[in-house]
Amino acid sequence: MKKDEFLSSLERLLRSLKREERNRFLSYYAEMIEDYMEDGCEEEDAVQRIGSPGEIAQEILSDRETQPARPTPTWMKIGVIVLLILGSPLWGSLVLVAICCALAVVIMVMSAYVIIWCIPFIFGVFSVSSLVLAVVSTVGSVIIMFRDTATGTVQMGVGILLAGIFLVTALLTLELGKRFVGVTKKFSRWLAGLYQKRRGVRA
Amino acid sequence: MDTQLKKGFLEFCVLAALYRSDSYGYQIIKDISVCIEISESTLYPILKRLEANGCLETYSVEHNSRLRKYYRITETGKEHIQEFLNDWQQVTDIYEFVKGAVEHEEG
Amino acid sequence: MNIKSLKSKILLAGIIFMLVGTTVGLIGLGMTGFEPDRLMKWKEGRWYQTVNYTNGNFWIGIRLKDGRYITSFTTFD
Repeated sequence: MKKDEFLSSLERLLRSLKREERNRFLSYYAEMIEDYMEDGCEEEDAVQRIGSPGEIAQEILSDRETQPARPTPTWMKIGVIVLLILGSPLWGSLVLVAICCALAVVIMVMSAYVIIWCIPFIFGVFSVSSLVLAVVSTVGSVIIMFRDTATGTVQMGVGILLAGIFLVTALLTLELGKRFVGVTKKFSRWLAGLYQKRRGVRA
Repeated sequence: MDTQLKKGFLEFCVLAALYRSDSYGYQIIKDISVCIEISESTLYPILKRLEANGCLETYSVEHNSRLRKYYRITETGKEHIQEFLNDWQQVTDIYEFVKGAVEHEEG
Repeated sequence: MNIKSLKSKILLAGIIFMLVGTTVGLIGLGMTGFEPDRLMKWKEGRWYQTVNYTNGNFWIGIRLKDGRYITSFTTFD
């Protein structure tokens, strides 16, 4: 490869660099080739010794990525601090708003939990009272039957009916309870997942 | 030789090449090559880094109708090289330590 | 015993109970000639009478003394 070929290839491959930087690289390598030639090397050999433009460009580009960022000048840091202090009423109130929102969310979540659990709870209470009433009714009905058959029979009927209600509601309470435990667990896990993601993004 | 190790040493080699007198890219490579292998593309980032650290400065001189870039070592650069020389004792200590561990294994 | 079938059995039993109970209750009412007024009135001390009919309202519950109740269900017309 001839020197001009090499240099124009390199220039093309280093398109992404700023003009100044690119030119510095190019003049460095141009100089190197010239020096080799001055020392007696043939143009083509000199180019070959330096390497292929592709490899060199790759090295340069990957090297740039690993360069650490330049430390921010002190005046900039001071300026930022001053601005932060001056602007504190603004971002201070924004932070407060954010905190209030977060609290509101927490309260909503807890209310959601309470509401969710009210339902099985109500069923539970219902079934317990049904049971109590059922027992009293059936037993009591026997006693009453001796006095007044009609009332006794009605009461017995009611007792049995209540027993049935108790069985059904108890079953429902258990089922609902189980379901709601599952829902609560999933909900809590989902919340935790959200929180984790936030953390992950922050970190 | 390990690339990381080499990169570290080459810095000092370059500074050493510039210690007595200023020099330019091609010459530096020739001077260092007697001691350790170095290529043009390796030299460039080292020169860039040394310049960023203030260990050397550059200027251009006209030569055969083209501009040649010369490098000159600074006081900071001289101090840097001095540190390297002072640290040599620790380098040999580390070497002995590593060697001792290896030989102990084989023993 | 499969859990699922146990649940279904309980459910079935519950429904049957409810049906039987309603039937028996209706029979009892039939004995009064469907005049709920003829049912016994509540007297103090008869806490075990859970079925009561007053002023056009049925109410089912445990009444210990006047004003003290445990567990009641009423219909309000």
